[in-house]
Amino acid sequence: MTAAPAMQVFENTSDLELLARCREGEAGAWEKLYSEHFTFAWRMARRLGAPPADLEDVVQDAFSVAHRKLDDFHEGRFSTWLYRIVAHVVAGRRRRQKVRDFFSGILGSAEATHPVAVDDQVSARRALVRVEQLLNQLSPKKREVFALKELEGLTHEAIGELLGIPTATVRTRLFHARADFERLARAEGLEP
Amino acid sequence: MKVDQLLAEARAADIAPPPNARARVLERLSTARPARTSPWLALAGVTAAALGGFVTWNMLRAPSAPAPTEVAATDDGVTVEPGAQVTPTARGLAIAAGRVRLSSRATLQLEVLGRTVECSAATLVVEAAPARATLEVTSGSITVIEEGERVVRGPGRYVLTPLGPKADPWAAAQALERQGDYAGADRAYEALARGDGLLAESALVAQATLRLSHRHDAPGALAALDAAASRFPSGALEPERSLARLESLWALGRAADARDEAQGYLERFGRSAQASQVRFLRARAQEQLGALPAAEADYGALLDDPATGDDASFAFAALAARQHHQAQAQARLRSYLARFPRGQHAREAATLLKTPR
Repeated sequence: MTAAPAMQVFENTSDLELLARCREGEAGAWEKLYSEHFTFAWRMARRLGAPPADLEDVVQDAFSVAHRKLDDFHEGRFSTWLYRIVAHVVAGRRRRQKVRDFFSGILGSAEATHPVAVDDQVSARRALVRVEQLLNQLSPKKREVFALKELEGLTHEAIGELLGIPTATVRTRLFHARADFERLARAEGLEP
Repeated sequence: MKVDQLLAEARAADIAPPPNARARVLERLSTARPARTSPWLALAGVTAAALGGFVTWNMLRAPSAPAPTEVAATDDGVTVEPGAQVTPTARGLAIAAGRVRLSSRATLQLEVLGRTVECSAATLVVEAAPARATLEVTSGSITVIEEGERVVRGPGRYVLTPLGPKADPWAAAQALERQGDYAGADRAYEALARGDGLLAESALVAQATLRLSHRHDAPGALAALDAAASRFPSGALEPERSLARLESLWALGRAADARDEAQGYLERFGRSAQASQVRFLRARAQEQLGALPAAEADYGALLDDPATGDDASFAFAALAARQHHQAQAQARLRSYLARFPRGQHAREAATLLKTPR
């Protein structure tokens, strides 16, 4: 089985130049920036737990916010900044979903949460669904580092830069996330 | 199966976007399709709406105080009142500020606010300020030459305003905001706020609104509003200031302060066009603070309100659900759908009602 290639998060050689052209109102520059980071935003949204059915909306919201706030981006990497916007959008939608779940729960809805579609034909997809179901039980912070490390294959340093936290914090958080994940996995009948 | 094996398999799953997703999202972005609206309405934009159409350059610019002068000169038919700023020109006078009376049979050329005014056998009073000049013609006629166009006017009262966008820093700041140059607009409002009068007060409120709506800087918005309140405690824009403060407090999650601000607004400006939106926000704050009966009373009063009825009716139902009044929640959802069959929560309301229990 071949692992999916890890995202090349930090190769953004011409982002600053593109951003300067975006600020000057050049539509083509914005489209290029969008195209270059679309897959990244998509994958990150998925890793952060956005339901597959919502991914287009999440990515649209994230790029819409990024476009509005371009003036607020002054330094660092565009992908890091975009990641934080994606994370914010995903978290916001999760909060709203909780409200809806609450409302639905009171009314006895059976459709309170997004069911994850299971494709029985592909074992990799099945495994991913199983992992995501376990990840959904972790706290958002633990889920984030665990998914970025174990599924996206990022280094501790890269995760630290994306999240704006020290590498040591990434390691600590990951240690606890892994412990929680394994505990949940054992409860599901998996071997450590 | 082992945990590591499961993770390895999961890593191999393809989560790349589907082939057309990139183009679809780009199209939605470029056609400015609004993102899905949150069922939990924010008040964003109310302040801007309140300011829109109200603030105009001509209303705002406070007349500069004329420089002290000893001029009280009289010429043939020309009386320059004390305090006026007048400069002789080759064919007449340039009037920068103050009051000048003219009653001359000779042809006289005046320069006022960038125009040339030719007077011949006319009696008139010119009152000039940097932002506005009035020409009161009591007899004869004048010819106003503006950017090459000549307009003849008989007796009457005429108002001249500054020419062009360069003479209008307020319009320039608003243009920057419209163009999306928010940092530039912020600086432009900052510069205007260093002035005096209604213009400075308006600039501070506009700066607060800009920071809140476009720069996501609620603390910065509050700082601008504090400056406005301190400099203009009885300012003309008190309602707009209160709205902007309310939005900022809400954005900062300060529900109790937002509720108090909304309360104050409704007591002072309860008949304003924005009152229902403020009341809706007060209800949201009350709900957040656990004052459910007060929230319910506000939502209930807004059910038929054109501006907030859609959100208020849905929130009214949600509040019943929150209090575990299932039958009441369902009845309110049905009532919501009857009122707003195409409302922004209609789909969700219908789904909730149809879901089997």
